[in-house]
Amino acid sequence: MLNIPCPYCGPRDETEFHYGAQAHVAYPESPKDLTDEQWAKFVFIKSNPKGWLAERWVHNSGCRRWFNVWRNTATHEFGPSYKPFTQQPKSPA
Amino acid sequence: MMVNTELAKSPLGGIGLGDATKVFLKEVPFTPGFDLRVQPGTPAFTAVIDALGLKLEPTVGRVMRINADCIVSEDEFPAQGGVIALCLGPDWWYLTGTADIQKLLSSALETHHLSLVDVSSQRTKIEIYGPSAKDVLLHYWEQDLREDNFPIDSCSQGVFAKTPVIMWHCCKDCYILFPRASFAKHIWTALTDAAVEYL
Amino acid sequence: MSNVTFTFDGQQYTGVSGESLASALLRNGVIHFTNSSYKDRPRGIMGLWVEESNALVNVDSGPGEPMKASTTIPIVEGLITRSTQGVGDLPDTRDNSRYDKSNRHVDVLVVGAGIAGLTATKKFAELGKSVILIDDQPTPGGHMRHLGTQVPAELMAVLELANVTYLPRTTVQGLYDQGYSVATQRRTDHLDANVHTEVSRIRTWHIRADHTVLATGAFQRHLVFANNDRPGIMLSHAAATYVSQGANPFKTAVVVTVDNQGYRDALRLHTAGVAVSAVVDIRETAGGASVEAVKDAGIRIVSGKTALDTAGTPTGLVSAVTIAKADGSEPESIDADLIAMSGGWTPIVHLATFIGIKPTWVPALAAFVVERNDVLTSTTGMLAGDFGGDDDAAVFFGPELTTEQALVAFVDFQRDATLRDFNRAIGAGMRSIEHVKRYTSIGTSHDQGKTSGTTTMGLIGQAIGKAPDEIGSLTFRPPYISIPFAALAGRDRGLLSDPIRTTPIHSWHESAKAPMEDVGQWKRPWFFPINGENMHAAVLRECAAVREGVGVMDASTLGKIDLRGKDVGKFLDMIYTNMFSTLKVGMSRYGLMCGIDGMVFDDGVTTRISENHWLMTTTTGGAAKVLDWLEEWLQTEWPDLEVYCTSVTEQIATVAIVGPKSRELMSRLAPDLDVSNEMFAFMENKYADVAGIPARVARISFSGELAYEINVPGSFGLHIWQAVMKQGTDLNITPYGTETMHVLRAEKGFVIVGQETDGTQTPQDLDMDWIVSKKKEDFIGKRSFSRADTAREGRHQLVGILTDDGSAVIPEGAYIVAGVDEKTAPPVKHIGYVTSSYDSAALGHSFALALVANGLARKGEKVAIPMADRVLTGVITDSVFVDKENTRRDG
Repeated sequence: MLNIPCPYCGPRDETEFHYGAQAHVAYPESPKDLTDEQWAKFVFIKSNPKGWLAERWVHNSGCRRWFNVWRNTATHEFGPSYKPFTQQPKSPA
Repeated sequence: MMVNTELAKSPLGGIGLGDATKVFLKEVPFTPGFDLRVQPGTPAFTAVIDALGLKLEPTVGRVMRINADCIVSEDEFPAQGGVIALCLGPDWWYLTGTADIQKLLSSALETHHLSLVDVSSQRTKIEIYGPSAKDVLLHYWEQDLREDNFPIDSCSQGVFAKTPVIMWHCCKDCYILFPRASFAKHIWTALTDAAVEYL
Repeated sequence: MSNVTFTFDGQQYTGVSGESLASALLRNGVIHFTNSSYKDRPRGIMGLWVEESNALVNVDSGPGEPMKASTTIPIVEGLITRSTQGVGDLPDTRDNSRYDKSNRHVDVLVVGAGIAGLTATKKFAELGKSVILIDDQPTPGGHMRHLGTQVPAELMAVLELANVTYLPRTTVQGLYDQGYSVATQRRTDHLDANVHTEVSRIRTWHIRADHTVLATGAFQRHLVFANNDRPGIMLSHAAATYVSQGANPFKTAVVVTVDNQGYRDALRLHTAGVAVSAVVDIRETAGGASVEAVKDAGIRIVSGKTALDTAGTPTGLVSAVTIAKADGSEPESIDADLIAMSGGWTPIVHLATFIGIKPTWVPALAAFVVERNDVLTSTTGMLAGDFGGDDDAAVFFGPELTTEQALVAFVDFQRDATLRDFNRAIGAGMRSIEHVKRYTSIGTSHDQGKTSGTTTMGLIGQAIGKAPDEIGSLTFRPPYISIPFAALAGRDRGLLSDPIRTTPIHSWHESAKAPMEDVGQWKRPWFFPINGENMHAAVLRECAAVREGVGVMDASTLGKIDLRGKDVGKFLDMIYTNMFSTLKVGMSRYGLMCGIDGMVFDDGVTTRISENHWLMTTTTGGAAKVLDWLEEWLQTEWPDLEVYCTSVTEQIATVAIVGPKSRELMSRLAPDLDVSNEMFAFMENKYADVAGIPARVARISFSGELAYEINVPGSFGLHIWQAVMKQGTDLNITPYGTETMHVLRAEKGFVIVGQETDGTQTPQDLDMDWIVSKKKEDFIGKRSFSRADTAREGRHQLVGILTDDGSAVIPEGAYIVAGVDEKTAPPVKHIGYVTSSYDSAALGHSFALALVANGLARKGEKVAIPMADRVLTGVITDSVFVDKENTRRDG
């Protein structure tokens, strides 16, 4: 049971959250100008390295806010969490 | 809006159960409720504060109130003109109380980008009070209820018996749950079941 | 101390209250406890606590429980137990005991109330921290309690502190990420043998601690020699503890040891009146206070030797031990009815390994220990290697044995796994403990290798000349000990097993005795039977009533989301495939949502209440998902859009009156409302008092019929429903349920997201290209429609199937094959499957909706649907069966 640091509510149990995969993958400005390959990469491919990854989570049973957080995918350790469109803190790695 | 209680039905029919020296549970039916969405730091936010006469702080989990002392021993909600604001998100409050909240905010609504939605039927209210109230809640509530971390006038949204609720620690040994109306019977079943060992 | 009467294997015994069943049986002279599971060899009690491998029982009194270690069962008046031969049997009666769960947050969790745990508790409590101290024993003190020594008063005092919660008889079953523990507390088994329904028998604690101190102590290991499993061969710490507490069926003992613990236990046996014939120590030299004390007591010490084999009585109890050097030389037989083994300590590393900590091998202790002191976790006491001893243990697990001897030298008693099995694993090339474990089944039984784990690693090392830590590491998985499933379920059974959602009108449906259909967590009336009708008859009647008269349905479960702000129209243009920004105030429009992959995700009707105020409806099951979806886009992609979303699903109760006579009924309910088609058109919304309640009435139809949806605050839902029933009596108002709703919409070819779709259908696949805007620059999913896979020929497309046999309703999910009849030999190529299938009152005929490869181009083709007993046939049609021209919706 992860203890996830919501930047608005503080640490809460994992059951209150939904996962949103890799952070900082913006919706393309103009999807129609992308090749099928570029579009498929946006839709289907997300980074999932072993180690530190900036991810999106949503505190959907709590404040309902989406946020970003550094998590170590190997150890489940959490680094800093931060609000969307704010300066990304450095990777704890 | 005045509720015509002859035609209206609350999800739990105003039921109560227990022993106040241990734990008492009861539905307080037909309390008004509004979801307010407004961005702090905007003119809209200032307009809301002016209209309510309550200086909202955008701190998630903080409850602010005006003319609204908690009175668990009486059946009715606080005295006239009361407003209670539970901060549920950085731009989100649940407002309740005896004041005509819709009227208070009507002019702000006309000129500013904010959202005030009547959710009086969306949720009902269950009071849990008595020395064992916290123990009963902890059978289902997974968040920290220690007084240092959830003092009086804290609120939180979370999962109670697998359903979404708002929890408000309103005064000593007293908590108020705001379950969604469709889940109210389920939550009542869970609460009264959890209370068995304490009664 | 009072006497307690209990039953074991049909015989009554008397024990001392507070002691374990194992202790009480030894007190009564029961040494041969049971026989082993596979080899039927006599076995006795060997351990003191959950490490026990042999002496398992079924508890038949109270709620009953299979496969409990007798060492952990407190005897109580009326306890009835039965020895098991390795395998228990579940009681065949329902367990009516109460089980529950509770949650706690705490500064510090201390696991283990031995001296180390109590000391840690004292330290943190004095710093002002809140502490939960959990111990699986009935009273604190750990080994000190076993030794009969008083726990220092200043340590006992911590249990009384206001900031310390002490939970005895509680086992931490799992330790997880970020200080999360799950523990089970046995609350009634020590009180009596009754079923408790008002106090929970077992409480499962979920604890989040800022810091967790592991002070879990250690188990003693056995040694692996021939016939090491006879009753009367025990772990020395266990034997000495039972005996010194008066549970002493033994006369003469030999202690076989690798460390000074054997000497300490020899002294305890000696003091309790057991004649200790020898302490046999594999080490050539030994020193320290305990060794000196053994010498002073006049007990013979044999150095450099160990147990090689044992002899037994005719009933199988141990009668003598052969001791020898490790290579089997210089054997000597000594008579004894108790062989006490001290094979070294195995610290209880389970909880530490649950969170990924690798124990370290310390040769001087002959043990894997965990030394940890970080923010989240620390270790102390024996787990951290503090054995309090005055010696170095030998790294020794058993002597060299012949093949014959190895056949009866047991590594894992419960699995009857021997050194011979083990040697075969090594011979077959296994080197990893994980492989050996799976090859031999060592460590896979009830005790999960509590005693055999380190021994197995040591033996591998001994066999191939490596140290145990070169073999691998001990890893365990939760739970630490077996738990009744009922304890994990807690109160989540019966009514509380899954939340039930009900609408404000539910009580009416219940009193009408409508069977309920589960739609997500909602209970929705399925149909409303009259005079004992079956479902088929009821649904045909309800459908006919709606098509010819007027029906009423509770539509309150639809998800509803209130949207406010000047950019809602713009936002909805991105969310839906069709255009919404052009929608006029007071009007509703049906919309389809897709994911970015272009697949249909949800649908519903959205209404423009005022310029900047909209109300979206979603599918019943999709409300939460859609709200999350909207918030995701608003918060993470388009934060500049002025849109606020609020869930109002329960705020609004919706009563739909449907059918040609609904206009008449609507005018009766709202006399002030002009219900004419001219003044109140399809998809229009009007505000009126309905049965005295201000309502929003919408002309929305999910059946193709003239229909009005009456929307009021939830608390008035029942009132409106009752008013509809009353005003509609002479119109033969017919309440209908979800099944009729499904039939009516299927007749019109309306899809249900989740029934016609499974997340792999585009709007085009559903023959709904008409709802995909060609004008909009972009919307979610648009770009994916032109991907090679979504644009390809041959995708499954939604069509109708008209069955040749109009009385045959094809089962939903049935496969459709092309161009075959009953004579075609398999295999046949399937071209699609049935998504919805019903008998239709309107058609007087059965029909179906189906997804068929290239289906839209195949209209008119004959298809077959092979069933187990026959082949149904039909023809592919358009998906709209009733009122293709939409003439009925205006009445």
